[in-house]
Amino acid sequence: MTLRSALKRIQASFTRRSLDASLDEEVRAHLEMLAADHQCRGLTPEAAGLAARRDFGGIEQIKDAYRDARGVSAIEHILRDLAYAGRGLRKSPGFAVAVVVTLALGIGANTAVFTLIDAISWRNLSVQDPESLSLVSRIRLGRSETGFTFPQTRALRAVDAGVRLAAYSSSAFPLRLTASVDGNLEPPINGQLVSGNYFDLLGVVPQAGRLIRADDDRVPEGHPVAVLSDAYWRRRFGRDPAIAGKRLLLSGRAFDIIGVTPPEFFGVEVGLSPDVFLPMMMQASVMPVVGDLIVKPNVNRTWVQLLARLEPGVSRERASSLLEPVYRENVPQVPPALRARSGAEDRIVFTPAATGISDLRAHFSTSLFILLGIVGIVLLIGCANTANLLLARAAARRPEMTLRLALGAGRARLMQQVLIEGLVIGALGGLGGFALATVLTRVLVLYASAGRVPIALDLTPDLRVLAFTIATSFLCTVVFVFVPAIRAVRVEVTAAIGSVNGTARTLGGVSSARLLVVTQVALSLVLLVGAGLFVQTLINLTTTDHDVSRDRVLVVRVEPSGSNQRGAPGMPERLHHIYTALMARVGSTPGVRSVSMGNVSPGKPESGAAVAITPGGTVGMQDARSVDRPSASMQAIYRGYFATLGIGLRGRDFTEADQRLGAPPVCIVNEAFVRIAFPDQDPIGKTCISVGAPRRAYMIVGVADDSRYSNPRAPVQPVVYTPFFQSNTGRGQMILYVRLDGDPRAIVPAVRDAIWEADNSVPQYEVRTLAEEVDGVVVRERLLATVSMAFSLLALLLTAIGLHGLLSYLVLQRKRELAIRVALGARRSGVIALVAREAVVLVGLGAIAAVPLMLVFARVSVQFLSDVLFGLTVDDGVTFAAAISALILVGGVAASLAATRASSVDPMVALRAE
Amino acid sequence: MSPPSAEVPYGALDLMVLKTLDAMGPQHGYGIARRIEQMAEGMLALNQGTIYPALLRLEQKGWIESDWGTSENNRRARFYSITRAGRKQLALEADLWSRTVAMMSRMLGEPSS
Repeated sequence: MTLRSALKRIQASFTRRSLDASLDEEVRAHLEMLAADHQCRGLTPEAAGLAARRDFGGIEQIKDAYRDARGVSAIEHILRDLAYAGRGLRKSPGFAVAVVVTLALGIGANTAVFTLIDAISWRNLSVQDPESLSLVSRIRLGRSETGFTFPQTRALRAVDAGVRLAAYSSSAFPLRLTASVDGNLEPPINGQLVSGNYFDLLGVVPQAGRLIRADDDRVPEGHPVAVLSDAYWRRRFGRDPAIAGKRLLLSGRAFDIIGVTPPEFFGVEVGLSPDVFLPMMMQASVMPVVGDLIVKPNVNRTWVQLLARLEPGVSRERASSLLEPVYRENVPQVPPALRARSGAEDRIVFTPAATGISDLRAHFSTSLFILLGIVGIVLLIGCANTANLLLARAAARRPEMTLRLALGAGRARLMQQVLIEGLVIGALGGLGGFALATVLTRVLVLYASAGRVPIALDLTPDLRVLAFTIATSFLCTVVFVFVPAIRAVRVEVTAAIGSVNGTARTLGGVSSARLLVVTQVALSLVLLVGAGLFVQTLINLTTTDHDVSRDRVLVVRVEPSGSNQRGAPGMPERLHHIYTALMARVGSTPGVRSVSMGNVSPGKPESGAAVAITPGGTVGMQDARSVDRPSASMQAIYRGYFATLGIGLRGRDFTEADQRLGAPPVCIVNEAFVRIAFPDQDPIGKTCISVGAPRRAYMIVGVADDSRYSNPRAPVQPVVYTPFFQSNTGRGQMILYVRLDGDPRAIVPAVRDAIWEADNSVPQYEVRTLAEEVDGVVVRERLLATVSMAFSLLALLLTAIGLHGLLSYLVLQRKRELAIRVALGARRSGVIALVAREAVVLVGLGAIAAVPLMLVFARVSVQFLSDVLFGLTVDDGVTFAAAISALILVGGVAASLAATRASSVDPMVALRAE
Repeated sequence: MSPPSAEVPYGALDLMVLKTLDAMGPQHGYGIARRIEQMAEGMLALNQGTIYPALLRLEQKGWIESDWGTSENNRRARFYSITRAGRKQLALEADLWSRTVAMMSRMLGEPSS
């Protein structure tokens, strides 16, 4: 057969109906002309018609031969089966909805989690040639880090090492900017500082205006230009085409907007999307917290990261070898003793960055794969239900199948039809799942974004996600259609045709169904126990001894102008005055229980001044020599801090006198500090000596409980609290803490007004609750706990449905037998006992089958999941018991529902139905 | 006259259709069948309907094409016409037939002794 005729035949298979119609018409015309001919010869019209038919030959045979030669029978069979499957589903909408919804839920959940994994881990950056992009990291004393100081990057970039380097500000130094457009204060936005060649290196082309160039990166503070991200442009400026040339005030400094990045570009860090890009030379204006790091760099502030593109023909080793000497020159020397202990020379390493850099990945990877496992199991359970439903359906259609076999249909054709029906269901489930996944993914991301900065991910489905959905749907179809398809055609024609209505004998498929239900029970149990573990982890991490509800404490960042120049003459007094007035005004607002201020948020303790501790209570600046000494955080607070945050305090709090300028230096330390600096002693009354400039001797007046807000998993950080005037920090920005007596929503507006009244030059950030601040830390655990619990309950529900379905089916099959029994005088309770026995056996078997699964799970989780679980002992009996009880409860409900249905079988109705 | 044969060799029917269309120009199914009967002069009793599968085959191979038109008695009918490729094929097959016939005649004309 030539290609031409093959194509024509395939085409004909799809246009069968219209081709049939035209063939009919053609044949009719032919017959008419034949008849007319005969009439001319003198026959009567009827005789002519008959003669015509005779001359033509067997009309239907001719048409059949024609049709067989015209199309491809395989295609036509498939099309017919598809139409048949569609009709069948439409006729039993309940069944169709049940299976499609079950599948859609399962496939949708799997696709959603897979999309997240894909977006976080596998997607390439939308820049030019991401494969050749690398991130530069340095290895110092065995530790690998990616941050450099500005002078280091300048020196490295000046080297001709066959590699192009571009710099950008690290997300460890977040740039959260107060913005102002046309004089109106705006919500804060995220920014990123980039070097002049950043966009050029990445090959990014602006969609409006121009991007930052080398010319914009020469003079410190000399290039007030800004590039907007597409999202910010859309959100705030409505994609205004005249955007280039507009002004944007950032942290009080005016910037000219010069252009907009394309929609698919979000920087190089997955999950973070800066709203605005600024030239690196403008650092001092927009990062006041850390001071001017370009003109007066600080060796500890490694705030710049480097991207690299190797030039063609240059190997990584060669580039490293050229860069390392320059790096070593620009790095503070490590004492030889320390270096000998910790390992080799400083090195420069290139790591591939095609998929971007991501904290998210490290943080969420394991959890997402766990979630994928969970939703995968739920999908299996759903498939089992679908298989059972199909089995029941196949049994109900046995008479039809028998008839068709008797009439000569081939078994292969029947099986093909059942398979196609399964494929249709699978495809519908897949489509539904795909649509559902788009919604679910966004919900998951929103949920996981409970932190300061919302997670920005490119969630549009790509080929990988599409392939995953298709593969999953297909696999599911294979799983649930396999057994029913075989059963559907394994019909003995002679045996079945006599008892077409079915007797107790036609319980075919029940053993498979039983097996499926037992599997479902076992899997649900495992899921429940797993979810219970995650929930318990979360509880362990979030219960604290603090007696205050985290929803009732407000956290407000206040930055009066000049607060970033705390060292300026007269500035501390001015700030102190503002702050005390502020606290007085807010404190007198109705609904406020207590007010205080501190300069470090409990959720981010690393922003405090870091000092190294020596036993005996001396603290000094962190430097290269003290790298392996325990470190503490020095924080400035006002009195009432511990009461407001609900942290226990021994000794005394700061008084008004302590807070005055010139008062004798005092401090409060926490228990962790005491354990290191004054082990086994009572530190109250002792002094803590700070060897910085100026050298101070603080008397310890109180000991606070350890605060576990920040990182519940890690050991608590030692803290030294000092009054505002006595703190050694350049930061004047403080955080206002307000403890409320009632519902925050009602009181927040009053608090805002109070702040405004106290000093209307104080720009405000968002007012958040402590819960919002701190719960961001346990996002991952919360995500795992919530999603796993939700899906375990779903799995339980599906299992219950499956159990109920099976029991009902059994009842249905034995309806006649049961009816006879009841008619003969058996009590209805006998029927219930029958059902109950069956249910108990199934659930029991499932529970027993779950035990080895759970042993394996326990082993696996101890080995691989230890960073996700917390505070659990190996035999967590409580969880297990709770899971079993839930299962028994649900199983009982399902069984009793089936039992009531069974016992309400009216013998007369049942028998008459035969 | 030899008894009419109801069997027509497979390829021969295709050839007859092609020749008919070549000689007569565009024709509908009935016209082709009637012409073939006439040409066969009673040596062939053809079930007229059997030309339809043949017409299908020829159309699939691209040797004829079809279009709807109006017949002599103002009826809508499908008209077939030969294509250029069809004419080439006709020439080829006609040549093949005559050579086959010549060869068979030679073989069968041998004196049987």
